[in-house]
Order: sequence, then structure tokens, then C-alpha cells
Amino acid sequence: MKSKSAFFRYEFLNCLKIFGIVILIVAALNIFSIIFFSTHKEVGNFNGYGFMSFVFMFVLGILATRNYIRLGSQFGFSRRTAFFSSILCYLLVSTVVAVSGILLQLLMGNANSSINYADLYQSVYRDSLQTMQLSAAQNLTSGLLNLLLAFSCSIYGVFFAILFWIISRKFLAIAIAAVVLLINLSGSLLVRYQVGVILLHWITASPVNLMLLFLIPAAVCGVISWFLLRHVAIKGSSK
Amino acid sequence: MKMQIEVHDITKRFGKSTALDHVSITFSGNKIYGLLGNNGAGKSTLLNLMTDRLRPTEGTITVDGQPVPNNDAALSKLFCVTDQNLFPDDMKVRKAFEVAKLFHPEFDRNVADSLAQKFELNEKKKVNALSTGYGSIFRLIIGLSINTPCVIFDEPVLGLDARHRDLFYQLLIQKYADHPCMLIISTHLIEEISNLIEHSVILYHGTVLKDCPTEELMAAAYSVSGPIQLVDSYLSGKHVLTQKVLGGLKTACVHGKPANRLPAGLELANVNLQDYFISLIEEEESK
Repeated sequence: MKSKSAFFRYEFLNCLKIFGIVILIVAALNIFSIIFFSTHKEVGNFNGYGFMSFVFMFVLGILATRNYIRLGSQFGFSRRTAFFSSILCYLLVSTVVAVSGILLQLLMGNANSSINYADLYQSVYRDSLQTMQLSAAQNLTSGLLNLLLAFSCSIYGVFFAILFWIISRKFLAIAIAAVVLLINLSGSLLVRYQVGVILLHWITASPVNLMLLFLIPAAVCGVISWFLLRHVAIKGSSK
Repeated sequence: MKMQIEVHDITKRFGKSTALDHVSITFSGNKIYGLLGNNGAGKSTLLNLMTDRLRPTEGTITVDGQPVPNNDAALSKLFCVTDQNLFPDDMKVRKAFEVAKLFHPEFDRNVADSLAQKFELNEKKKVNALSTGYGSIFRLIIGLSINTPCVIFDEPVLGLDARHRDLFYQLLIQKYADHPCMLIISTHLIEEISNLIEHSVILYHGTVLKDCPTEELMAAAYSVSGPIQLVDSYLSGKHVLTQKVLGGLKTACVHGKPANRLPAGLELANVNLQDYFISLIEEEESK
């Protein structure tokens, strides 16, 4: 008998190992900033952790999902099991990412450096240039924001991984061009009709709005990914 | 309860081409099945459908009565070794064995290690760094060490040299003797496995041409040879599958059972599975 929990454990530990490398890089950057800027008088701020973790989760979604579905298929785990255990795995990894962010925030807040360590929440909803300690509730909101955004990014990664798996090479080029076009077009529309300003006001009004902005498309992408996966021909990646 | 895989009225189309056309087969019990056919006959497609790596256009597949799609209970009874590598590229062979043990506790790690030694497979190598032959060997070792109720080998000896092919067949028999299970071997190298398979399923252009015990299949035809004129007169009124002329001699493969006594000057022989298979295919193509 095989075990679904063993499969999930494998996925989760694998993701954690990769995240371990990322967090080591971030920690090294922070230590470097503390040492390098401790003697400087000028004040700056660093908020790269959140952005880095979102990119990490997006790339993880792209790279790991197919691997897990293939491996699952080899060992008799259905597409459903492989897909949903991957999603659950990304949710847990996002939680670890968010908790690490809070810990990093607390550590850096107490470090003797002229660099203010401000994460996304502090940058958008608080004054990131002011040295300030977040309250417990603010830390919780910040963690939740990081968690949901990181998780949403992983779902986008899953979506692109499966979309690019199912479509032929010809349509792959069209799809990539369409994504680039869509981003550019929506960007210019936001600027032209001042929708961007309204959107920005709406986003900055509350962290919940930013969460929704990421979560709703992620939910749509997740559902589409599942329907696409039902039609994917599961093939190997190499010899 | 006997293990049973039921393929019911399966059709698989890729765009305009039909890979399988209303195929129905039942694999049942601990037997060695041979899934035979030319290239493009639909063997791999059928196996991919059975393991839910492909979805059928029409029809259903069940394992012990349970439908295959999205069903862990059904899928966990099958282990399919193909030429496709479904392991992560950066995974080492040793790690792949560990993972196999983690997911299938009945995977015999000791057997896997000893087979890796026999095949001289370096367990420290990454899966994507293995040569084509050793990539096949790596997957075969997992297939030979896993004790699921059904193990499927799709073109197992592709890329293997003669020594390793021979070793694989020996180990396959050993596995079957030690852990009786359903083995399905898909190949177009029929001669090499004809002595192993108990039940043959012959696919031809996406349809089932024959589905019966190999013994029955072999007894369904015979070969007769001799001078051309004698053979020709003997063949009249008989269902001739194929005939070949070499010099003044003719050899024909005839469907049915031979008469007790053949005319003097003619020689009777059993057909081997490969010859019979070729005869069947040639007959189909001549239709």
C-alpha cells in the first residue's frame, strides 16, 4: 500500500529544502547590510524579502508542479492527489515563508543598523522610513498578507506550468506573446484612464484589498489549472 | 480475488488520427501477458490509458471494478515502466530508490540494490545523467523490485545490449516465480519474449487482432515447406496466411490444424510466435 501522506511529506520537505537555500541567501544579504551599513549615517530601507518570496513561490509553482504530477503518476497517485497535495504543500510553504518574514522583521528591527527593515505591509500601509516596531496585530496582518500573496503567486506558477504543458509549441509562443501583451495593455490602460490611481487608492486603503486582488485571480487560475490538468498527457521530461 | 483490469470499448483519438478504436480487453489473474504489435499499433497508448497518463476519448478502464481516472486505490495496484522518465531530472538513482520505498513500502530496496550491482548501475548518478540504456535499466530495476499486483513493462529492453536484455528476462522470470503477479509486457521484439508470455494480445492499427492464450495462438497455425509444386497443390482450399519462396522451395504458414499425414516430400513444423505474428499482420495488410 502506498501512502498519500508520504507523498505529501516528500513534496513539502522538498519545497522546504529549496526555501532553505533562499532564506540563507536573504539572511546573508541582511547580515551583509548590517555589517556594511552599521557605520553609515544615512538611513535607508530594505523590503526585498516579501518580493523575493513571492518570486520564489511563483517559480516553485512553475518548476515543482509538473515534477510532482509526473512522480505521482509513476507511483500510482492520481492527478487529483498530486495536484491538491501540491496546492496544500504550497500553502504550508507560504505559511513558513510568512512566519520567516515576521521573524526576520523582528530580528532586523532589533539589529544595530541604519537600514530600516520594512516588509511589504510596512512599506505600503505604514511609514517604512520610520523606525518602528509593529504591534502583534500588525505583525499578524503582515504575516497573513505575505502568506496569501506568496500562496497566490504559487498558484499562478501552477497555472502557467499546466497551461504550457497542455498547449502545443505553436500555441505556446502565442500564449507567451498574449501574456506579455495583456500585461502591457492593462498597464497602459491603467495609466491612461487613471484606473491605476483608483486601484492604487483602493489597494492602499486596506491590506484586505491587496489580499483580494491577488487571491481572486489565483482562485480562478487554480480552478482553470485543475480543469486543464484533467486533459494533460503526462509525459516524461527527459530520457 | 484475482486481479482484473478491464478495458471496455476504449477509443483514443489524437486530432484526426485514431490510435485505438473501440478496444476491449480483459487482463485477469497472475499471468504474463504479451501486448504485441507493430510500431504505432497503439500499445503504448493503451498502457498510458490504463495508468491514467492519458485520458480516453471514449470508453472506460477499471482495475478490480474501480474506474482508473482520479482513483488512487485503482492506480496503486499498477506500476508502469516506460521509456519515459517521470522522475525529477536532478534526482539521484539512490534517492529514487528511497522515494520508491517511501511511496510503496512493499518496494524491496535490497533487491533494487543487488540488481543495481548486477547491471552495474551507479546509484550516485543523477537520473538525467544516465545514458539511454542505463536510463532504461534504472526504471527496469524499480519495476523488478516493486511488488504491486500488476507491473507493466512498455518496450522494456529498448536501448539495452544483448547481455543486459538476457539478464532482464532471467530476472523477470525470477520475479514472477518469487512474487507471482500480473505482468504485462509490451514489445515489438516478439521472438525474445515468446517463451515467456502466457497470454498474447495482438494489436493492429488500434484494434485487437488476437486475444488468447499463447499456446492456443501457436496451435492455430502450422508451417509447411517443400518443393513449390507440391506445396501449391497442398495449399489449395486451405487458409494460407503467408508464403515465401526460396530457390525451388516454398514455405507457407497455414491457418488451422494439419492433417494427420502430409503428402510425401512436404515437411511440417510448428510456427513460432514471431512468424505467426508476421503472417497475421501480412494477411491483414493484404486485405
